[in-house]
Parts: sequence; C-alpha cells; structure tokens
Amino acid sequence: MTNPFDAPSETHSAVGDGAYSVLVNAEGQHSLWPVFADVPAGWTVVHGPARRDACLEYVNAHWTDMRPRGLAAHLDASA
Amino acid sequence: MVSSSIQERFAAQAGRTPDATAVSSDDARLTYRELDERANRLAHRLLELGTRPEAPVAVLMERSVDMVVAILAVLKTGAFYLPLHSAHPLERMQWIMDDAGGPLLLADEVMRARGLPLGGQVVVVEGGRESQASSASDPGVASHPDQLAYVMYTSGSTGHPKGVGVTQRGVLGLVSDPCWDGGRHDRVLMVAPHAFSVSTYELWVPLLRGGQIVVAPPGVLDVGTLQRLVVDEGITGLHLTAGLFRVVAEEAPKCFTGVREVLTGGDVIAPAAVRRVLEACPDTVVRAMYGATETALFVTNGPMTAPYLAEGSVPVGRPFDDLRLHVLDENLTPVPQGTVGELYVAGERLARGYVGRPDLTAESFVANPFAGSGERMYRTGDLVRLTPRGWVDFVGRANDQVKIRGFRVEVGEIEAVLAEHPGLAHVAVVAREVEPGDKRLAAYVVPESGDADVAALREHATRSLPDYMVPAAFVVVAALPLTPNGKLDRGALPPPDFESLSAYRAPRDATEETLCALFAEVLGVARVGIDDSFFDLDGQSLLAMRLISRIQAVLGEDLPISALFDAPTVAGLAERLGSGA
Repeated sequence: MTNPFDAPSETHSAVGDGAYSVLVNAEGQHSLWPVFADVPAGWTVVHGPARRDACLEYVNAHWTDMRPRGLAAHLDASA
Repeated sequence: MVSSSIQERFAAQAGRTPDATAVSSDDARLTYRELDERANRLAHRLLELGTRPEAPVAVLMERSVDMVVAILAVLKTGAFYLPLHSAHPLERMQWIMDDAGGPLLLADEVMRARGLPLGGQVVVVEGGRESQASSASDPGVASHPDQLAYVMYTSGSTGHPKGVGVTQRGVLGLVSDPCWDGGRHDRVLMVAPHAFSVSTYELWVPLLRGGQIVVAPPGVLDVGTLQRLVVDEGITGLHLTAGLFRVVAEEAPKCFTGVREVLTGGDVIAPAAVRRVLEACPDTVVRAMYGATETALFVTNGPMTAPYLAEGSVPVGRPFDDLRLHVLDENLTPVPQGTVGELYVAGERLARGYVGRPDLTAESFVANPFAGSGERMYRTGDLVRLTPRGWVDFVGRANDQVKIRGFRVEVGEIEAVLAEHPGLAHVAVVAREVEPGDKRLAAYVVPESGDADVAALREHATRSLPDYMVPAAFVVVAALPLTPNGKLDRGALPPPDFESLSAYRAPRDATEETLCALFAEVLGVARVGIDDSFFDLDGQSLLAMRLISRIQAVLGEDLPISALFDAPTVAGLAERLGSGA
C-alpha cells in the first residue's frame, strides 16, 4: 500500500509535481498534506500545491520554533 | 486540581506515602521521602549549573536507584531528560550529544570509567554524594503540560537517529489510564534500558501511583535472576519485549508465578509463548501491548487469561482511553472492519515531534480530518486490521522499517553508515527471517573494484551503530539485482551465510562438543567452531539467556551470563568450565 504522505517512487517522476501542500494550525504546527484530500478543520494552506521536496523545504524554512505557540508564549512570559 | 506536571504529581505522592518504598535494587532502597529529597538536592545542583526549563540534560547511567534519582531530578528543574544507551557506541552517543547542543551530562562511575561523550559539564551521580551541600527542599519548578519530559532517539532513515520529543502531558496521560488500576503494577520490575520507551511505564506508573520500582541488576538479565527477583521482591507487574518473553516462556514459563500481570510487545508476540506461560501460571494476566515512542508509549493493550487458545497471531488489543485510532487506505479513507489499512493514532499523548527536524515532523504528525479543530494524528507506518471484537491485529510494516529484537530499525540508516566506508559502490541491507519471530540483518555490498574488506566494514559498523543494528552477515556481490522498474529485487539476493566467520576448528573434547552443539542450536546455524564468537554470529542477549539456560540444563553448570560476554567462544567457555582441552 502506498502512503499518501510518502515520497512517490523514483520511477514515477511525474508524480510529485504539485501533489502536496503545507498546512498550519493555530499552534503553528505544520503538516504535509496531499492535495487530493480536503483540508481538515482548523488548518490553513500556507504553501503549495508544490512538489513534496519543495513543501518540506518550506517547512524547514518556516517552522523554526517547534514549541506550540501557547507553550512558547507561556515560557517566554515566565522567562 | 489535577497536578499538571510529573514532578508535582510525584511530590504529591511523596507527601501521601513518605515512608513507603519508592525504588529498590539489590544494594539500595529509597522511600518516597528519601527519593524526593535526593532528587531535590540534585535538582538544586543542576539549577546552580544553569539548567533551564525546556533544556536537555543527558543521562548516561547503568540501571540503578541513582538513575531513577537522576531522571526525577532533571524534571524537577523543568528541563527534560535525554537518555543515552550505555550499550551504544561512543560515536553514536557523541552524535546525539552534538545534535542536542552539547547538554549537561549525568553519569555514574561505571560509565565515566568507560568513557563519556563530550558535551557540557558532567555530574557523576553516586549515592547522594554529588549534591550533599544542596537543599533538600523542593525547588518548586512547575512545568507546562506541553513541555518536554524526555527526548528519545530512535533509528532514522537518513543515516542518523532522530530524537522524539515526548511531552509531560503524554506521560501523565499514559500513567492516568485505568488499565493500571487495581494493584497489578504495585511492584514493577525495571528491566528495559532507560533509553527505550518502555522505561516510561517502568518509571512513572509505579512512582506516580504509590508503587515501587524494583531495579534489576545492570546488564543483560538471565532467567535465574528474573526468577529470583520475582519471588524475593514480590514483583506484581513487568514488561518484557516479545523476544525476551518468548525465551522465558520456552526456558522457564513458571517464572511468572505470583506475577499479576506480564506485559509484552514491541514486536510480533508468539501465540505459543502466551499459551505456555498461561498454562504454567493460570492466575497471571498476559497483556499484549502495542505502541511507539511517538505516542508516549502504549497505544493498545489486550489482556489474555487462561485458558488460552493459541491462534495464528496475537492481536494487540484495544486503544487506551485517551487515544483514537484510524485505519486508513491510501486515500485517507477509513477501511471497513477486517480490511488491512495503515494505522494512524490521534490524541493528546502525541509527541511534539522530532527535535530539530520540522520536515520529518510535518510528514509524520499530520493534520487530522477526523477530529476537532487543528488536531494532529501520527502515522505509525504499521499495517493493521481490526478484528470483529475491535482488537487491532498487526499485519506488517508499510515501509522499510524493521523490528530487530524489539527495536525499530530503519535499514536506510544502516545503509547510510555502511556507505561511509571507502571502496563500496553500492550497499543494501535487508532483514531475513531465520525462523518465525527471529529476524536478522544481512548487508549486501558491491565493491568499487576487486574485493571488499568485510572485517574492516564490520568493524566500522560496530563502531557506529548499536549492536542490534550491526548486520549479522556481510555478503559481497558483483551487483545488486533490480526489478524491472528499478527497485532492489530482494528475492534475487543470494541467501546470506550467518555462519563461518573464522577458520573452523573442531571441538577437542566432550565438553567442547556439547558446547558447539548448544551454540549451533541456540544460534540456529548448522555448525559452530570452537573459535567462533557467539556475538559475531549474531548471538544477542536474548539468545545468550537461552544458551546459559541450556548449558545449565545439559551440563549442569551454573554460569553467569557475564561469563559469555567475557569468553564468547566455545574454547573460552570450555576453559571456564574447567574442560581439559
């Protein structure tokens, strides 16, 4: 079974172009997402449709603080 | 109000039962008050050294009462613990220390003598002498439930391990489950390495519920020690990996007499082993467990009692109360009951993600279409189906990950490490099932030219990888066979030779003859020479336990398991047994 989040096989180079997007929730958490599926409630598309590797590059560039926003605010306030 | 952090829950428990035993080993015993005070002192020392909330503190210690003190002390500072496995090569520990930014390191004398990875300051925890001058009062550092409790490194496909960040909320969720009610886990045997996620159960289920941790001696457990601890310490609950459970079931199933509940999992559970144990110990419950580090350990549990009818497989039970499972097809649509799909897990216990790896986190912890606003679900990579009574039946892995002795292993990580070795054009690592439930790794290497130096390659692997990830066989091939669409054709690879590593020398007397036969039987190979090392032949700790037990049965000789580690060949053991050769 192929998982919709996994990289498509190298022999299928056509697949992967524009097949994914990046979602973000209110805590700033990011999720890779296959474009064929509806965007779940509470998530917003912030990148794509794009190639899978481009989406993951976006995630690495933009999700630099992996603490949930609520926690980050709490810790920064008490620091 | 329910306490919001592990350290507060522990302090409250210590206030309720100050004089009850919290943790004991063969040579030490601490009450709740003593454990609390020792951890407080060490926590003050760590705070003076600059430990902050959400910072890592590495712990490299043997299984001991001091280790429990150290881990609790770390949480009392608001920091999280980063367990390092004492059996891992220094190179791997160093990589993890570097990845974590060179944190402060808590160690013991044994580990210090063996050599520590470099990082921040080192504090040797030794019976309280490390922090005598500090205050015994609680430092009173609270933690937010979303703060990390620990980071555990597991095998990663990119050639390096990845650190799973587990939250305070995750641990408290696991510990609060009603499946631990009723006194069945009052005295829990600690046998897992603290860098293995099962330690979450062994530490926090007893400590946050007023129970007692009984720490097994460091090193590899043997059946005799297990039996002694169960009887002498009145163990009521313990977890053994599926492999260890099978060995004990075959060698000494009566061993669990008096134990109220034996948990087992981490790999495929052998139905025959469950039957043997329940026949020998009809009052014991065997509970099948399934879980992942990413879900703060256990996801499902399935209690089994006598009389037990062994079937083809052991389903791993129903989800814990605070988790929801989704079995989905490749379109993210739920599959009907009985159909195989990939398992996704949702709930508050999910890990924060992979520390410092937003990309890996975003592809594994994904948006959840079946829950309220903005929730995530973890895709396990496991293929399962639901039985008619709603139990999860594990079918296999959806990707290249394999389980070796209960550890998740990404063959890609091993391939990446082997590929660092000079002179190799291609590398492929595959898991081969020698017999049901016994998988071994074989590495296939294509040299750039001429022959490959297999001994040097094995040496390189041993230096860089934990022992369970070092391939048991290295096969030099001219090319890797490929399928028509360009993938590795596993079926076309020649069968590996798990034997013949050194020149064969035949046994010289009756004792050696018997030992050679026992080695071969336990290792599942045709022939063993007297100079072949048990461990080079992939004799890991489970098999070592079995070998020691067989030597006892056949030769009537009681050997400690350490004897095999000191003298891993037939010739060496025969000498120890006073054989004339």
